[in-house]
Amino acid sequence: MTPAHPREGDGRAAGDRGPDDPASGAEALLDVRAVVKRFGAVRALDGVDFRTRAGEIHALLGENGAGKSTLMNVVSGLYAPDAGAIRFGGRTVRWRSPEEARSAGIAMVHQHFMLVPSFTIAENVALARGALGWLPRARTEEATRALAARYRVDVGDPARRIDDISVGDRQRVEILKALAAVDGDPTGAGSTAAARLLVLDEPTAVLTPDEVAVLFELLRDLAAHGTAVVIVTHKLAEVLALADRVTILRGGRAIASGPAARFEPAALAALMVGAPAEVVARAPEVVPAEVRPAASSADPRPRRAPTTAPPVIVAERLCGHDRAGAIALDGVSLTVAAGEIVAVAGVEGNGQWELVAALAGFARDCLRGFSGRVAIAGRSIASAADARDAGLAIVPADRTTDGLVAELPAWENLLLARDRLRAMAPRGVVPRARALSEARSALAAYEVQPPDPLLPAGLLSGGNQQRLVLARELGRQRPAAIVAANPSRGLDLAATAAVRRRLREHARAGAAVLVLSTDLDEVEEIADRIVVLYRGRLIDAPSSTTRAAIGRLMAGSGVAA
Amino acid sequence: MTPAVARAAARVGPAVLAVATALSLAAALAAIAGSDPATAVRALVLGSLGSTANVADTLVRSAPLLLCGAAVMLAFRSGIFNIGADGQFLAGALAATAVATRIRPFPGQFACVLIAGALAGGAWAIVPAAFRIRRDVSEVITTILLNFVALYLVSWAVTGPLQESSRAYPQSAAIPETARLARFLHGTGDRLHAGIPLAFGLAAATGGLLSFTTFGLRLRAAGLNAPAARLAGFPVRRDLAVAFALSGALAGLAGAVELAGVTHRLFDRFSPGYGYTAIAVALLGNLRTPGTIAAALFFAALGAGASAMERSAGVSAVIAVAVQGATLLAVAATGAPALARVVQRARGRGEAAASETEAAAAAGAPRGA
Amino acid sequence: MLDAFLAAAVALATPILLAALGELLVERAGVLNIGLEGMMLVGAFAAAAAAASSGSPLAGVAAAAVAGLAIALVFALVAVTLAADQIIAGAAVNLIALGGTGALYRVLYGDTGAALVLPTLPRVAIPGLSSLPVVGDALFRQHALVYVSLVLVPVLSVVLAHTGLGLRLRALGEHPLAAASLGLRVRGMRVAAIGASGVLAGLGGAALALWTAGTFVEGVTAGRGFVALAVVVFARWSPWGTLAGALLFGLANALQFQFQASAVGVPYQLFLMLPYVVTLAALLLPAGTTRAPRALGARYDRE
Repeated sequence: MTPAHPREGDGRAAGDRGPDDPASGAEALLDVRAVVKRFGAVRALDGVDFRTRAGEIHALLGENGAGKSTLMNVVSGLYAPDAGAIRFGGRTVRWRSPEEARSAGIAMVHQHFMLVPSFTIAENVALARGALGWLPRARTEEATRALAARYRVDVGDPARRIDDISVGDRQRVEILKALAAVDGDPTGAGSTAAARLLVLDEPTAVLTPDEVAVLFELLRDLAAHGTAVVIVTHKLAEVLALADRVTILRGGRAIASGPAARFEPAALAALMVGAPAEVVARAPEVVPAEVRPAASSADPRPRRAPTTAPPVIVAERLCGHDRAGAIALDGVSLTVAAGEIVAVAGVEGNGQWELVAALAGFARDCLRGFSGRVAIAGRSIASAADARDAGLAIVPADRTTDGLVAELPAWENLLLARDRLRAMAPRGVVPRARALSEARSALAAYEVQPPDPLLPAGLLSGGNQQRLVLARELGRQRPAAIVAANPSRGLDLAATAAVRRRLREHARAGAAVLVLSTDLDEVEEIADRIVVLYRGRLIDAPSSTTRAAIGRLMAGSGVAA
Repeated sequence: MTPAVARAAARVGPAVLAVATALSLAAALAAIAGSDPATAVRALVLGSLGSTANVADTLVRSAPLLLCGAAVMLAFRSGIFNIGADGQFLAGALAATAVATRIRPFPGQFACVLIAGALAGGAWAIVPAAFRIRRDVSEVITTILLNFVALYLVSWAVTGPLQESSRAYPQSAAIPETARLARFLHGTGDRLHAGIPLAFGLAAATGGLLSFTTFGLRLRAAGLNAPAARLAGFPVRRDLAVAFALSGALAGLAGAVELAGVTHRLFDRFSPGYGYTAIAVALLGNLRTPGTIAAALFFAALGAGASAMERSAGVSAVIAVAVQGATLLAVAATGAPALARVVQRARGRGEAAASETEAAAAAGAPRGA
Repeated sequence: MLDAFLAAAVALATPILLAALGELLVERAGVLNIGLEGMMLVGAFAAAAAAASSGSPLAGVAAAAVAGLAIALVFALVAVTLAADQIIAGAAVNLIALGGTGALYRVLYGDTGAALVLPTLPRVAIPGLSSLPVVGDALFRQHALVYVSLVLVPVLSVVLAHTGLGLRLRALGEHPLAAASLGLRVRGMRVAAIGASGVLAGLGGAALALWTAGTFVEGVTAGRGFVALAVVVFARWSPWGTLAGALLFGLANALQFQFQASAVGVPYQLFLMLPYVVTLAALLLPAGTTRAPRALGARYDRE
């Protein structure tokens, strides 16, 4: 369910006029002109123009690598531009640090939250406000409540630890923190104007559709009170519903900009990808779902009929608590048959990692009170070695912490799986020459750039690291089962399509594939069967379930507590 | 500066810096102590390398440093901060003494002595290993605490059950001929013993284990990123326990070698801190075999030279320890990534490359694979 | 009897408590300093040298604080500013301190074998409170550094838990990137914490040289710096827990002297071992929910 279009009768007259409209008369709050930013030989920004006005919601669209984050990092003072000029509030500015930008009234919410997990909400907000002296708990909590009320950002009980709250809540805390850091009034009793400019970098990436709606309400409210909101994203559909203006970046340049209403969704997609609109219209799979206009959001994707193939992945009544004692898995039972692709939809933090750990065989090590049975291809799994021996390929959610060893060269990372290592070195000594040559083929096959087997994995870009992990896990001859968590994270459109294609190929060859994803588009695109994971419990989403309903299940409504 | 020259400079640089630091610090300390710096430095250099006898002395001193250094290298590469090499060394020496003096002499006894030392060292490492694997208690603390326990155990043994029969000194009886390691090249002062080539061999073997075997790859993975190793299906806990035990065994063997090859009896304060110095040796050697061997030889030379320096220039030999520390600090400081970044930026390399390395460095594990 | 025993225990705990409190600050800020032993040793030597030459124990205390600060800043330079590995830097500090103090000791006082005689710290009795039964002597008739250490415990506890300064420090140890994103100067604050810990470790060394041992010999700290590290872990990084851990060591140490004086046939080395074994055993106790600062020991390398 996409949020209702704001243009219908919201009373704001400003919507249709941009700063380049001679009739507007209102000067831009932020005016970026011909900014260039180089990183070594790479021109991340190649003469970008960008303008936004107070009270406007402006979407900055583009693929991964188009320069959106870089542009916002320049605007927020993290980077200094190599050329070009920035005007803010009518004056030319040259910030030397994020603090200077903050004191000018620019608040930034990064994609990866900068919250201290073991601190409470109040403590994180207090930290952002920079107090030094006596801070009794009652006062920090009261201050947080006051700020939350002032900016109309609902963060709930400020005494809760960040560890314990949902991702949606965390994002709101980040927003509140960002606004508080900009806020010049220490007592919290001053004007109601929040930051002059609020930038959000990919805010909807981790939210359920309902949470997205709540976020958008919050943003509209801030804009209505005079804050300029810039939302950096690659999610077309949601943005069209929210934004007043849209700017599209590609290759470090703004190739189009204007009121959102003026753009056809298909045209926007085409501009983002760089393909002519007719091509996009004819062959929509060129453009992966997240960028595709949400044409068919109403009708559910047809699912396959229940399969009669033998079950390969079998999990029975998995239960366990995490380190902090909270319930991580609450009686999860799951089967995936050979040739079937099952998608587990769910917001991060509802037990995905623990489910992967259980299937991969090391639940006993990290979950307390773990019980339940896991079998892969008929083999009972009691350890990680068992899982690998049974033919399980695992693509972990977090490639840097779980999937690769950054300091080791690519060729050794390709051996970072028990079965692959044993196949390469059955007698304990690793044949370097053969390993290197096989590594070269694998790197080429999965288009890892640069294809140097001796390069430490940590020096690869995020997308290439993911390709390396996939090369290792999916490059096997015939894995019996594949468990993949967010497999296309960090990949650009073409690579994402390639990954999904490979998963389908493996499924066709008989593997049982389980994909865990926070991305509903991905879930819908790839799954034969969908289940939803919420607070450690699995809920079936039969083929008649609409996308909206799945979103609600992900957020927990519609489930008996 | 061409890339090739830069690479060569990077490799040789730390060594040159180490030597320079050592010599200048020794000279400075000699000056503070009121001696002639030139005499002191000359004594330092000649005392370690000036004659075949001195070179032999250096080699003899390098054996325990090399074996303990290999122990530390193995442990640290596996992500185990074994600060307890000293205690494992003592435990090995203790067990070796017991086997050497409490059992009736028989041919080939020296082999049993060495084996006993290795086993005891490994056993001494098991307790901290268990603490870490089972209870997640940092081995930094537990290994250090056990060092002191071992120290007092040896002290008790040489004034108690293992003491020599005349009960005059806190030392054990002299070990019999069959328990001693053979000496060779007697012309060089009759000091070189079979333990020295053994030490070099084991150091090389340890490096080979780490770099070329599946076990070694699993250990390095576990040391750099345990969650990834676990996900790979590697038996991380078991591997770490084995690595810990092997590390302790190497250090214990060092103690046995020192007993059977050099001192021929156990006494109070048997270790002048070999276990701690070995940490510096391994770190200075960048946790690789060639570097560790070079660093062990360098520190051994410092020790040999320092004795000579004390005799001829009156500067206390214990200064060698300070020099070792300063060398380690200097090399660590100049090898630090922050410094490398500054230099890089001064040369105008891209921020992109710098931030990539930064991300990798910040990712956690402090040292390279 | 009990009074004297408790008083001895508290006094014996003081060097460790001082060093451990400093290390606590540093570890809460995310830095693991295994060079604590070296810092204490440097402080002990400076205290001994200054006190011996001036005849005044207070001069010794001042010298110890300065010396501890100096060597702590060296550690900070390498481990924080240059972001070299913290373990390496700490190990180097220990070696430098051991060799440096040993050599300087020989230079200044020759190796005659006779122990250096030092003026000891005067006991200061707090009027009224020092007459309390059992704890009177232990808590209120001690030398000044004992009072410093005891007062620091509640002070640090309050500062860490209830002030903005404490909040910032803790943020450094939990999530330095988040702290940096808010404009906190991660490196600067860490250096300051390390400096403070250097002063405290130096004072611990002074308490050792000018009271507990009453003299300086090579390696007089005998691993107390490492015990202090263990105490911080045992204390789950809380000031009151640190007090408990240090007292535990002090008690074990005092027990050792008691037994040595009275017991038969039992080898004295057993008692020397006792404090370390007790600390080991204490580390086995169940962990509880508090854990180490999340970023402890991790290299922080952002510009």
